[in-house]
Amino acid sequence: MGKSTVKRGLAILMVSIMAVSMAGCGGKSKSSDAGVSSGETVTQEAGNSSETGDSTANAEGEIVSYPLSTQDELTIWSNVLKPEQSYTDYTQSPFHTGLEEKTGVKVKWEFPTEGSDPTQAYNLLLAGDKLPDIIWWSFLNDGDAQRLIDEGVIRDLTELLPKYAPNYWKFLQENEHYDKSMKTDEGNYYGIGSFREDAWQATYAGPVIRKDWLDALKLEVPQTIEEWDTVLKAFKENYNATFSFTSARMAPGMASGFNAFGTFGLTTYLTSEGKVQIAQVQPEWKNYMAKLQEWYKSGLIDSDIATLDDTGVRTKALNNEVGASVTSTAQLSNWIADAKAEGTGAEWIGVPYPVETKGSVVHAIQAEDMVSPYCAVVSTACPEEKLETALRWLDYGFTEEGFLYWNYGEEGKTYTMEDGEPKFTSLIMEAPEGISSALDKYCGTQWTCIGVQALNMVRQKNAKESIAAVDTWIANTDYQNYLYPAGVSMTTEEANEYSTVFNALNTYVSEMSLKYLVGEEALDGYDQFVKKLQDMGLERIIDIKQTAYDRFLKR
Amino acid sequence: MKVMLKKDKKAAVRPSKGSFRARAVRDWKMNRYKYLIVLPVLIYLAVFCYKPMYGVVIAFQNYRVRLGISGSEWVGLDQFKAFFNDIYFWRLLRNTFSISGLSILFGFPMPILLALLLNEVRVKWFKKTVQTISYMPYFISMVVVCGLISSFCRTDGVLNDIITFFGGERRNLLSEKGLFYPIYVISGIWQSIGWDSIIYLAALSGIDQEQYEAAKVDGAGRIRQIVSITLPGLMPTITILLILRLGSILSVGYEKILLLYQPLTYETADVISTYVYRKGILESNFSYSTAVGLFNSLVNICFLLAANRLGKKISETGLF
Repeated sequence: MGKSTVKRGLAILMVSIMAVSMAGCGGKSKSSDAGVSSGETVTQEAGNSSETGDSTANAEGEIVSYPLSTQDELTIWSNVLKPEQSYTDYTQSPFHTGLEEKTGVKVKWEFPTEGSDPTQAYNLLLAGDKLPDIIWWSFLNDGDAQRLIDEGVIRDLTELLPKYAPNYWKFLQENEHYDKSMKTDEGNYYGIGSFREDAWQATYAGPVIRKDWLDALKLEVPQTIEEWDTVLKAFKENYNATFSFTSARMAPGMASGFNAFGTFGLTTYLTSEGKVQIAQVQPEWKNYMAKLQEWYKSGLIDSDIATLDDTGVRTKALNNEVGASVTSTAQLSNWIADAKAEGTGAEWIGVPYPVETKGSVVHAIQAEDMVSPYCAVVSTACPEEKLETALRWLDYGFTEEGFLYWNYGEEGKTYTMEDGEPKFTSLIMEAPEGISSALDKYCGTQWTCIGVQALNMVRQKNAKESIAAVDTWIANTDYQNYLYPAGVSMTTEEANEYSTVFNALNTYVSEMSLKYLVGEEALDGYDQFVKKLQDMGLERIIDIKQTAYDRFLKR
Repeated sequence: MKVMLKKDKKAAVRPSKGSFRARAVRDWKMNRYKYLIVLPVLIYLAVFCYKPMYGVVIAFQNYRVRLGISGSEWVGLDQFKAFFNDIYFWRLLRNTFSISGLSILFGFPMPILLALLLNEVRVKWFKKTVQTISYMPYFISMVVVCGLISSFCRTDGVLNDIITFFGGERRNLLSEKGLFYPIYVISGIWQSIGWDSIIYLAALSGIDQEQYEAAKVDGAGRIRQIVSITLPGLMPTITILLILRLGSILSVGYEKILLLYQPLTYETADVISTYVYRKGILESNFSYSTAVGLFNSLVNICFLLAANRLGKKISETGLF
């Protein structure tokens, strides 16, 4: 009798444990809701100061003032600018609600379901019946904007931009590269994009080194490859530490030390004559690989690099097994924080990319295009009457006050003007959830925006070591002359041909480059490597990219 | 007596007299609850498995999401040709078959062995403990398992410690293409041996105990008993499970490979699904991946039918 009661009790206990753990799945934390709504009301009151005047007559091409006086409501589908995680939806996010007030336009935001594949969600959106008024997506990556215009999915904005988005129009006219990136090869403007104010913001990864070890060994920060040789050997001898990295971060890695442009994956770059080239078929790359192989064989490079990810390298760094690496500023901050927490006394700093001869300029650093691949387009589902509102709303980020709002939030609340420069308040800088989360709540340019990301904003939000590192990396470079632009687009036939061959080529290059690194393949076979690439269709790839690039230049 | 009962039983299930309509009505009246129970499952199969099957036609098109199936252009076998003509096609096929084949060759008998061994254990608490411990790894997420494997295979990991203890050299085990298969298969066995053995243990309990006693009387030792009684008793279960296993020979679970492979091991580890996955990152080419999927399914069906045939020949048990 007693035994079966015990059994029953255990059974009930098990079931209740399972039921409780089911409840734990899904659903965001709602605890911070209360705090948010009170914060929100404060925003609303403070925000009234921006209701300066009513908008003047919305005549064509005229610069109107915000907030607009309109009853129109816009719907936007976006894969970015999602409300900060503690909010259940955008109606609680100070940035989104504040934007609504400032522009005077009610906007309904739609995001793909959390955890779903965004590309799939985007494709489903296009295949569905009801398109939103505005779609915000990485159209520059897809490169098919002209086709979408032809198929009647999105609107051609060429006539409309000068009329209804004069600030953005002016911005494009003043910058040739941006202008070319935001229109199709046929010359049709299609999107309002996201731009960086300065090249400083486009780079976020590079070589780093243990400064305290350099000092202890009385060595200087290495500039040339010979100096790197010395430093790495010294690290190995004295500390048994290696040059470790995640292979994904080595783009372009140490290539600049040989005037090469890539390391492991198939890398496209522009030569100084503006010709498209592949990094891996240049003799400079062969020399670069030879050096890396030499380092690997001498044990100067970590033998685990093929399987390491960022976390793996981070653990090794904490255990003093790493003397130098190539990594991102985010990781660098992590390593510095780890060292502080454990009290290891490790000092990590960013060091310049290596050069072939002392004093020369670095041609290849890790950097993105100044134009983000994301841009906002107006779909054909947006009716004629709403077009003006839609475009003026999109134009807001390019006005003076819009620029300040998108980047810094509310004046007085999230930033104050000091000496004419906006400075974040403690609400952001000392936020308990971290600067990044605070920025997600109140500002919109941390990742990608509809407007221009301010240099000052990025400098303020980064830790000082990261700022110092990026300063070092960007100091002595002309990489922009060699960067293949993000706004280039291929025609459908080109894209088909390209995709047939590209994956095979990339697989081959990735394999062979790592095999060269670990010494499994001898570099004597380099000529066969190049020949095989030609046989696989490399020339065709280069041709396609060249033609597409030439069309881009002619826009 | 026995014969009459049998006839009655038959009448209760399948009415054999009268016109089709009369029989159908009586069938419904007698078995309606059975039909109702099966109905949700049938609806599920119809809606989620059969209805979407027409979508396989996009393998013969150049499918564009916006244009839909009716609007996309037809390209016949072009997608298949693109796949077969890919430089790496033979390597991918070879790797997929190898990984699948080795998993079956080494991974299939192991749960049977475990079940047989556990069956011989008389100490009940020991048997239960071993069972529970052996099927715990099944519940560990694949990502966690691969994280563990990665850590163990590092140059400074546990496995290398063991290797150096026996006088070997330290090296990252996951970077060696020759070691990929052993690592994959052995970790797979570790993870699923307990869970897969459950069904065999269940089948074992269905074997008539009288046969064992008779065998013991005849003087058979333990091994003889296993060979002559247990294994034949398990044959139907083994055959069916093997047929099912062979029916997914080309569908090598790509998550594990994706987590464990990297360019240095592409030569042995790159399978059809991982290659197509990498291709898919570049373009959302639905048609191409559907074509590859169709190819996979066709090969799987061939193997399934062949295995079924073989199974019927050898042990008179087959799936259909």
